[in-house]
Amino acid sequence: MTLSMSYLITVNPGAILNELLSWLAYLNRGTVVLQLLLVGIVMVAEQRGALRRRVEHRLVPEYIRVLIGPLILLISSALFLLAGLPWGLLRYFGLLWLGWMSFTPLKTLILSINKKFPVDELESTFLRPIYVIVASTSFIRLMGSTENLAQTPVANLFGVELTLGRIYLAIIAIYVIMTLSSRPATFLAWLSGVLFGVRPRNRRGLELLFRYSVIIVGIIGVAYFIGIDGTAFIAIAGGLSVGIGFGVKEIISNFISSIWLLFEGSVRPGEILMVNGDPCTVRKLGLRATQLRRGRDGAELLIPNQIFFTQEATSFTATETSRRDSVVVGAAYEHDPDIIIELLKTIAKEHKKVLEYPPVNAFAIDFAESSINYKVLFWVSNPLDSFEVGSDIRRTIWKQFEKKGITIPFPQRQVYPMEWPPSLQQSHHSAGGGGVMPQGIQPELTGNDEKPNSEA
Amino acid sequence: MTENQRSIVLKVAQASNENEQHSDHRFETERKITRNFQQQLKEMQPGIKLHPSIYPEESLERALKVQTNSGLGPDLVIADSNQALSLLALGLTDPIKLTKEHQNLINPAALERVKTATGSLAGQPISQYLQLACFDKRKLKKAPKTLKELSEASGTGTVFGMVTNLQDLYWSLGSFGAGEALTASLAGQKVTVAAHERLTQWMRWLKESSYQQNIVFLRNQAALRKAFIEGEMNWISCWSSQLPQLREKLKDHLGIAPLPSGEFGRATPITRLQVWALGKNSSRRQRAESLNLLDFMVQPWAQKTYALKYRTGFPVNPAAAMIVSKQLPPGFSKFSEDENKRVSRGDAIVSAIDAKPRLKKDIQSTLNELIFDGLSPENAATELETQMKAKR
Repeated sequence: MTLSMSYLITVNPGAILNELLSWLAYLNRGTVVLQLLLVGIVMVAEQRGALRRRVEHRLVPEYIRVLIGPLILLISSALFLLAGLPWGLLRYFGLLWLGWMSFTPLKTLILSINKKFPVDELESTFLRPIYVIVASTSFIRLMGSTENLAQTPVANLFGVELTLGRIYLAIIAIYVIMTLSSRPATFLAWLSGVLFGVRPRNRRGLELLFRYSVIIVGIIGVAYFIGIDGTAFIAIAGGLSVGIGFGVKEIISNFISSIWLLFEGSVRPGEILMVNGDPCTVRKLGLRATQLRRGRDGAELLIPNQIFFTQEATSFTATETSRRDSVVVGAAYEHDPDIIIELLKTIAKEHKKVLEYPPVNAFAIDFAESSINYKVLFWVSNPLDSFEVGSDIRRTIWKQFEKKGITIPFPQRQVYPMEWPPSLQQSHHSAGGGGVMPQGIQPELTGNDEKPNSEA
Repeated sequence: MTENQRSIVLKVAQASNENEQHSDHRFETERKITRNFQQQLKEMQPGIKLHPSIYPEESLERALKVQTNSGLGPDLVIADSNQALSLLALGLTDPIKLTKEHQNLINPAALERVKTATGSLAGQPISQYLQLACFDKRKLKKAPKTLKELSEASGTGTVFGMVTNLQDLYWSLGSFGAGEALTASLAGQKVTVAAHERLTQWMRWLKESSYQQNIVFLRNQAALRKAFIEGEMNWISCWSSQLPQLREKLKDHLGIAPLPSGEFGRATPITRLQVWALGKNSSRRQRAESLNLLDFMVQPWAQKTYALKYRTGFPVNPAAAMIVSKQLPPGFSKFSEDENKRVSRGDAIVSAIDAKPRLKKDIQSTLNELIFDGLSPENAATELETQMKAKR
């Protein structure tokens, strides 16, 4: 499929440029220049702190003092009105500035009512975008006809004439869809939880799926709104198929993997996977990569989705979440294994995070050099707990053994300093009678300060 | 100094003629004409660069208020006579002072329509738009000259379309001589029995027409034009200002004719003036250039050239009107200065109603009930007179 670039997209900024240049005509008017000058002076004075310094610091908090600049503009707009001069520009900039500065007091107010309210999120996702929209549309209304400007054609995409208004609305719509898609998705996931009994863990995956669907439907809707129809979509699909073949193969592969993994349900947020022998919790299944948190050190891992898709992964949560772990301990030969096994079982059972079923079990696993080794096996419901539970059980075993006089033997090695040549007595003692160290071979050095007597 | 440096940008706010149309392509045709006009003007007035913005009629006042308060108001405002008067009353435009010589260039009846009670001029008339009959030449060889012919043609399968508001139906009042009853009611005078009877007759004609299968009443002009362009209708009442859109779509098949007359008299189409008013915020130079342009626009050459080029309006300069009347389409050519006086009564009535939104709404509902519901013509005539006398 060959499509010339000019068919795909042509941009014609001439109309906008023309509009912008025409705004310069306003600078011919003294009243406009006067208002702009005043705005400039107040803003520079505010920037240099000249306005704020005059107000006593202790009496007025900072977030009130920043409102002085905008208030000066609003007051001067009122004075201009009284003097019969055009005043709207002063009011516009005053209000714009006031709006910007009132975010901080507003946030302080909300936080004083409810400390847990996510004000920062509210500000960045809602308040500031609304502010930008209101400021830009009101500015255009000041400068000319919004409707007229909105219908100015600026680009041509797939044979569809894109007007400034449509592009503006499309950007807003896409932003709204991206930010708000999580809400209906959460609701749908919750609803499916209520209606079909989907487990909370699965709901998060479902939520993500719903969210992607909302975004895809929304973007297609926006495309149709700006006039890109079926033919244009075919053109896009044609272009993409070539793109997928070459450049964006990995991205698409990761994306498709993420969708597939969600459907399959093997890598969902909240799952616990073993990555290189470490248990990790899945935090987020993204479009390209999965974000995991490694339990051992809290590191965040970003693993491309296709890794999970193409390589094996150990999951502790795929069908059930419980994990079996074990503690190995040695006890001296003199103790009855039955007693030890019974004690180990009791210790494990008594831990509150150890599951009753499957039951705890303990085995004698080895007649080792200095001890009989036992292994106690237990199940925990959360795989991430097994490490902690193991430690608890070891500590309890030590305490119980201590209490009951059970010794945990450990290999002991006695090391003696040697003299060279050995005295007869020493030689007999250390070689156990028959052994004589061959000449020229140094005896093993110990960790103490004594040096072999090489001078002798 | 080069020519470019000397040229000045004049901001123009223009009220749309395609007002009833709320679509994405609302101003498309007007924008094309405006762009073309900009190019044309550049050749004649190289020092002036127009920068027009088209506004929906209903939001023009609000937009101008915001801009004028800020000092960013346009240098010129293009509106109809009623709107020009109300803009002046609101203090959004400056009155215009025309020299005697200059005034002689403009049809006195047109000037009268932009005059305030104190005698100042709200703007300068540049052109006037007429109400006409538009028909599809493929379906209709000749437009009906009388309402009788219209009725007969509708019987043979030609579909006629009209709009149910008084402004668009006013032309038919003349055919029955029913305008007198409305003028009297509006002036608060007693309506003579004869005049009342003629109004009732008009109502009867409306009612009878609504019963006919091939006479269709729609609620606005945009819907009518759409149906006409799509071939669902073969004849509609239309405005000369909206001709470019129809010409673009129907090409040579578009026929234009005067609206049909009745037994009592000729049709009384409404005219709309295109008035150019002066914005309040212009700098001295911008104002001087604006006046310069206004002067240029009423000179016979400009009047003749633009009337013939765009064929949407009739010149306000009587000398130019004489020249062009023979070259314009039939609907236009019939229009003369006499005609102007004859139809001015309708213009006055319609503008008086336009100024009172509640009265306009009441009249609209009476007409709707008559055409679409069971209100009898007799009752409708009485109701209309009462509403106009009450002047709410």
